[in-house]
Amino acid sequence: MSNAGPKLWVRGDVDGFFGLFSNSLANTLMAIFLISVVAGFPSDLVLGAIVPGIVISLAFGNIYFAWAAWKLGRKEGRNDVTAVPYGLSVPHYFIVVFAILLPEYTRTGDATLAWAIGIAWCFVHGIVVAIGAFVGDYLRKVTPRAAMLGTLAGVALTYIAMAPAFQAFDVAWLGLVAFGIICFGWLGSVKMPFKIPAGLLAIIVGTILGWITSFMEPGPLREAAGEISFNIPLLHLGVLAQGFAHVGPYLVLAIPLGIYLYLETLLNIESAEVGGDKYNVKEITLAAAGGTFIAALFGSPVPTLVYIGHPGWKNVGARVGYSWATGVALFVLGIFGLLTLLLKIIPIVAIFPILIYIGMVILQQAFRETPARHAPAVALALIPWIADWLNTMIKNTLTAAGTSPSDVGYEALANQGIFYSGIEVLGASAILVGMFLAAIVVYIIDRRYIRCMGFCIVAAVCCFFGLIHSPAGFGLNMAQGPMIGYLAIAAMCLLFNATNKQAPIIEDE
Amino acid sequence: MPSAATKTTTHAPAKLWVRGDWDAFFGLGTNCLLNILVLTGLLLGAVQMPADLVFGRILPAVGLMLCLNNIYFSWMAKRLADKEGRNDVTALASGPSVPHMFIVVFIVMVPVRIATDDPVLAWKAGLAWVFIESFVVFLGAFIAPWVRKVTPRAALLGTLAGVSIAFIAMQPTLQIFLTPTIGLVCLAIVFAGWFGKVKFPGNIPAGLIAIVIGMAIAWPLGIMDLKQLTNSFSNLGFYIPIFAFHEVIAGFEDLAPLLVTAIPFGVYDFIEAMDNVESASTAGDNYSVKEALMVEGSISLLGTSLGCCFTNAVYIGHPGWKNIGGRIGYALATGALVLSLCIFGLVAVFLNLIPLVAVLPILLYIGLLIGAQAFQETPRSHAPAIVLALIPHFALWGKGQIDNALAAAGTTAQEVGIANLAENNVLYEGLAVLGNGAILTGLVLGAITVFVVEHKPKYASAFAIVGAILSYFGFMHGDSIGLAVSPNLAISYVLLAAVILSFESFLPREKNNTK
Repeated sequence: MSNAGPKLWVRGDVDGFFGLFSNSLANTLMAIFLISVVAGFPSDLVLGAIVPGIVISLAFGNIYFAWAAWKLGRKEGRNDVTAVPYGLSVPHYFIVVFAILLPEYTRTGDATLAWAIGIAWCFVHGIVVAIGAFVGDYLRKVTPRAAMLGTLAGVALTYIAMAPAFQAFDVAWLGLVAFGIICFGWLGSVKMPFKIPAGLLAIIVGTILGWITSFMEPGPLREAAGEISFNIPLLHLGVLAQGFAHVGPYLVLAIPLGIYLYLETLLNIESAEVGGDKYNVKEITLAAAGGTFIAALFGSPVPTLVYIGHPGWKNVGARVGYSWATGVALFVLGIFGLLTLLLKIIPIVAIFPILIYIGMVILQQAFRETPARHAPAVALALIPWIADWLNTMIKNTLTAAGTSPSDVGYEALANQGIFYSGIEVLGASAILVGMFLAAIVVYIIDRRYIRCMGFCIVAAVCCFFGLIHSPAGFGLNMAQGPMIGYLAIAAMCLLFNATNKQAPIIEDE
Repeated sequence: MPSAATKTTTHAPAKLWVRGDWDAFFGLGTNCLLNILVLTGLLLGAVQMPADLVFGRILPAVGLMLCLNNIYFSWMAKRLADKEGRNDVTALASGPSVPHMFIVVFIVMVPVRIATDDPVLAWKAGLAWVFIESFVVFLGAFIAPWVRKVTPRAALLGTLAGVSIAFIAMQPTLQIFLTPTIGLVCLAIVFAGWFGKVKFPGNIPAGLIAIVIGMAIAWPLGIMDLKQLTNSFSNLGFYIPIFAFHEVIAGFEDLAPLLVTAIPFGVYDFIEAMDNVESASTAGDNYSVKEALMVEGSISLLGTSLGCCFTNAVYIGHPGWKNIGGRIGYALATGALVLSLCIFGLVAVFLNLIPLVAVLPILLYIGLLIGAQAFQETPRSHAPAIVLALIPHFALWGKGQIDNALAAAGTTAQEVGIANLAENNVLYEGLAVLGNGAILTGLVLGAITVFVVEHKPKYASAFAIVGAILSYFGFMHGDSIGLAVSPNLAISYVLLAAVILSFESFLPREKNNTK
């Protein structure tokens, strides 16, 4: 075997590139859309600082993983090593926009400050993933999978799948057609004409439909074309430091989400191993953390991770080249400001079905990759998220009506069948609430009462400090009612443990 | 299963009461009681009906309906036992249908009450709606096999899961967290008993323990009101069900457009009943599906004519009652209990004696179970279809809550302005489009997805065409029924059907040739 290492580009990389590139492009466009349109950030900030930060993190990660694959191929004398795919984390860009950028910007009117908090929050993810490379296994062992995946499914359902679904049905003639293509390509595994990746085809067909029905207009496109400029990614250390001064309240969000980010990366490295490429787990995890650090340092608030789907890319024949090519292509588009231009060419509705699909897959994973007996726990983990979503909806609705829930009065709301304080309490830190409730139910189902008690006590402590169930935020003795409730369950667990003689269920199905 | 089951020596008539009936009676009896408490709470609280209407007219009809159904099911069990010479036949259980309880309240009656400020009109609307639903169940006895054959299970169970998470599980969970000191404790008891199969001392059913503990916490904390309890004794009396034909007919006149939505629910009712009859036959008791459905439907129709705005259902759980020894008597006894509670006005007393939040975890349990079942009982590859079928229900539920919030603020979505709402990230239009006719939308989208996954473009596009037709007439996505209600969506579904069909030529050969 020659020691020259595998080729940097093979024929199968063309297919792989179009697939991964269009996937990553869709996600990147969506993130930019959320930041610039939904959160309403000024375009010079988005174009000049955030987009270059996003693309440099993508370039770093994709090139690094191509290199890692090349090294592995050289070491094992193989030509068929496939790089692990890499990109922006979809749940995270939704969370950063809806939980941080938008509310902070609305509250203070200072886009730079909101952005600073966002990148500090992203940096924390890097730290958590890096630590995860060392201690993650323990957390993974004590937290049932149904709890982790369940709370993630909650985000996927409410923030990833639902809002796009509503918009897609608003412009159904475009959205449904694109959705049909995605369904056939990804759910039905149908080969598209000329082997075009389904995501790309959906975007192309959607764009054509959008322009011939004059749903898209040339005016904004011309305007955006005038904004084409060259933006080099810059280090934003000062902004990052400013963000750290204000990130405190959002750390609660960052830690469990960081753990999820780590776990998702870990799972995907495992799936690469099953596909035949045994990478060094710690190295890959640390590199993914490095990509997130770079994102934060260069001004992107979106954490990155190793993507799902390595075996799929390996199957189509992609090796090393598809990975670095994706990184380079996105980088070039990003620094020349062409990504925002693409947003004016491609109707965003054509991309929504991809998000609906991602939401569907995450949700089904939660039910399918856990023992069937845990399914009720997964369903329960969704509920705090739905409450959180409803809370946002009601608040926004009443804002539009020029009032607020407290002005209307909780009593008046309750008379109309809206238990607003219940919504607030249940939805506060939905990510943790979903995880705790699901973990408690999993251990009740499995009759492992001591573990159940452990989670109840942690939940009670979190209630005390207002980490969960506290709409007012942090403090001491913030959510007394739920705290007592959790402690009572803990006491009952002790009782059950002493009196119950049935064996616990420990094995996984 | 006890081996006594095989003693087929004598052909003496089966006994009406055995020891195990006590346990089963406790279980089914508390279950029915809870549901009646919840539905009473909904009528008084959400629909804001006057107490004399609820206790004087509606509940007696509910009681009579459930009692008759349980008597009939006991009789079916008795005949089966005599015919097969066994004494271990367990009767099918019957009670108020839980998902439909919420649906008829929140989709039919509450909107009518908000729109007209007339709870009596809301009652009439509910009656007419349930009348149609029951009629569908009755007809379902004849067409059930065909519907089952063409619609994938994932689509049926998926849209049912959407209903159960959005309309059954959400509200109780919010209420549990309003009073977490009681709610969470009772939740742990119920879940430990039913999910964890914990045996409580003296084999007391978990539901009963939750009630007792809930009361033991609520009364000392002053959450319950002694005055209201004593007042509620004034509701005691003797109420006889009276026919309410005029009200049903009035409901038909006022509510024609909404009534079509009752059809899919009727379809679910009979599918669910069919499943439960099947599960009974798996457990060894082979009942006639057709007979059970016809009885359920016609007794529901009778109940509606008497003023009961809820349907009854063949309950899930026959194997469970059989397991703990219930035979024929437990169903009879439950029927008698429910009837006496309802016609003597005792429900009001129970409602003020037991904190509602103590029984809500039971509803959460049911909601989670149905939600989980959709994923557990369908092929793995169909899971995305279930997820898609869920979404319209959340849209419908969310839109309802938004409307209610605006009503509380004294305005409406139209007054605030759709564009204004959209600027605040509330996609009201999208919510309305996706949420209207959620049951059918969930079913159609779910079925399309299943057939795409299965590589059956012809079936998938057939469902897309059905979607187009239903949208055109407003059954799906529309806020009223008529011609060209949602032409845009109708065209979209036709486009979708075209896209799906055009993919047929790209399908892998071998898959294409099978079937």
